[in-house]
Amino acid sequence: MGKRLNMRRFDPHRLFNPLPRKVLRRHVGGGEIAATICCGLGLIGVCLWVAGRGADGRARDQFLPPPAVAESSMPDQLYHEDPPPNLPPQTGGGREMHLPAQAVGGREMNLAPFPPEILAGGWRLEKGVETYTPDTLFEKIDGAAEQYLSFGCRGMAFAALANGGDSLTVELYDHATFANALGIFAAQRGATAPVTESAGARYYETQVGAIGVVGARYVKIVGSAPGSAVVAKARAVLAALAALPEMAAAVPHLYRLLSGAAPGVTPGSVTYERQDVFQLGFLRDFWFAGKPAAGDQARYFLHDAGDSAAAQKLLERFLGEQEYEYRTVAPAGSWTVMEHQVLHTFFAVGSAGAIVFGIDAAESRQRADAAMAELREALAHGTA
Amino acid sequence: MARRERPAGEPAGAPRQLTRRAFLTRALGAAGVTSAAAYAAYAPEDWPGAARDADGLRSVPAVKPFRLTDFRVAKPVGAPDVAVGHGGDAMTRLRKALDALGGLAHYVSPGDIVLLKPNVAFDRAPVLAATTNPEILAALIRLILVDCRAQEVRVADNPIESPADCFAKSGIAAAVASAGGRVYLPDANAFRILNTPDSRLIENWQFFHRPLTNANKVIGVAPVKDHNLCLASMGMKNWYGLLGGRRNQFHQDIHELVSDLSLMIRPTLTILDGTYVLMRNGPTGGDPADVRPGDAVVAAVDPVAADAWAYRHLLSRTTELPRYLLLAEEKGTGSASTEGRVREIA
Repeated sequence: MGKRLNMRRFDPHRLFNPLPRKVLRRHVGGGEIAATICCGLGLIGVCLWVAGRGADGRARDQFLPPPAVAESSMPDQLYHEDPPPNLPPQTGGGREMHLPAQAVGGREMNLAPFPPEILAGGWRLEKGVETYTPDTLFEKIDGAAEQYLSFGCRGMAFAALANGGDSLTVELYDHATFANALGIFAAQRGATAPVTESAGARYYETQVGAIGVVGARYVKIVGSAPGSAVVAKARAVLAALAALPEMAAAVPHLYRLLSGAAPGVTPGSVTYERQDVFQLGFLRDFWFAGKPAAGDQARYFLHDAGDSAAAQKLLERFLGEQEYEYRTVAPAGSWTVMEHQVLHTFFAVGSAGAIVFGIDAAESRQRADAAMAELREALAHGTA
Repeated sequence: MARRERPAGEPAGAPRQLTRRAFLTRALGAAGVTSAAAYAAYAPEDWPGAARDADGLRSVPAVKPFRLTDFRVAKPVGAPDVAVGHGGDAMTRLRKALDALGGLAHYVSPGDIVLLKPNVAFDRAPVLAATTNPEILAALIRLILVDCRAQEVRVADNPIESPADCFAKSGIAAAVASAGGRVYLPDANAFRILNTPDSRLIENWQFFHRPLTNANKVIGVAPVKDHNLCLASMGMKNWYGLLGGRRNQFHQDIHELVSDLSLMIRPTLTILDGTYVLMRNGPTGGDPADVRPGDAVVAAVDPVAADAWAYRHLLSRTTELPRYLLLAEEKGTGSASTEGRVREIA
């Protein structure tokens, strides 16, 4: 029909468009009307959407709530910035730290929680002291943080020192209690490393530094290369840390008891296991000591159950579990002696008041009995 | 579209009269479209079809993840899957292992751009064996550049500590520079989302992409060391160093992650540096007494087998293999069985 209508206006002399212009039409189709309406409504919709989105440049519309920012952001923690200069001194356990004048690039640096004495002898900080919380510890020791956290680590401070061609790093882990610090120390110490006790620090020396316990802190000092200067500096750092009043921590009575429990048991051989003792989930907070220098594999152990009823209950459960691997050879009296069914070593355990005490891996029945007698005597003296 | 016929008697050219039916139809249509637009504009974000974007996150352009190509090269006929070189210096051990595997020139062609991935996770001295030994890395770079005539050797890792410090104190920065390689340090713009099909934990994850741009061969050069969480850190665990983001959360399920890493990247070769082995207190170490000389370099086309062999013979563990090796085997990225697949050259 359209073609028929248009034929009346057909002009054969027009070169490019022989059809009449649409504006001259007297009829607009329903489809075109509908499409126009749709386009108009679409434009209105877009306007409404823009208005609803509020993209008008006002500050409130640009605000993203912090959780949304955190959710959509990639953490950029690749580098640790030095702290800003001239920070006010922080306090460490009530003791105000003094800022040394020596610093990185002419800037004064906050040494806390380290004492200024760690810079004695011409040593300088390579960069600012770094501190980590349990939530950020993985940023420093990714993959190893879990072991420290299992011993109650509640923070770590890190300092890198240099002096000429020598350099070393000091890692100071705060484990809240002496027991926890001793526990991680024992877990990481090689069995043959001799422990030195000096002025409140328990440590062993390595070829590149020293590793030890100062109060409730576990300290790891690692040099860049073996050398006597680095080891001497590590000793000096430990002594400086041990001199700090806030580093003092109460020594548990079981540690003291076990240290003098038997001839040959030295404080250096005393260790602490916080959880899964003897690979049993219900056994926690056990103290151990042995005499590795004598080649004896036996280990004394002590545990404070809180009261005698709890100690008795724990003892019964403990013995019940041990029966899977041991056979009871002497259930009488103050303690029970058991023999391992495969290894034929002897295990003895008993209780005295709130204390569970025993010996593991004794080479003979007589050795087990003697050790139990020693322990009981030590407990009697210790509690007297 | 067919035009509606005019009613009879209506003169041609006269304006059309809108019928009630047509009016209602059009009005309903308009109301529907208006309602749809209003819904899209005002409906809460989590409603279907809603266009609202209160926090602006919906309008953030979606980044299309990329995928890595398979960098593996078929080994020569008769070559073992794992070769171990013993004796001599670092270069000698490395040559022995690579020659037993068919020669490095079989795997790296002239003009190749080769990415080497050492473990530079911590700012520890080489004597502590927490990082790849720089001697091995330097020897490998020289072999690739001189013997294989590669175009470029890149060395990259993403330590979570300061990368510059880690590369410097581990001795790797100096070793790479002296051998003619180029270190790529990570920064926030060096990462892209990598898609790893079939992986459980890192299907779409931030990946240190920049050093892989145009690289056509990838070789992992990992130390062999104890690991607090997954028993041992060797060739497969080494690829963890190319991940970005909050990767530490994967420690909750580290065995699954390490097996996913074997899906993420299929390297040309895996080289295990057994010069010094960190036997305990890994992955950080700190006491040279925990380190034992290993006198071995392992080169392998099967990273799972290489790790299994090193776990038994370099870490001297008689316990069960780490679970991630068995998971990787299930995922088809290698075999933990080393029976008849290892050739040792004294």
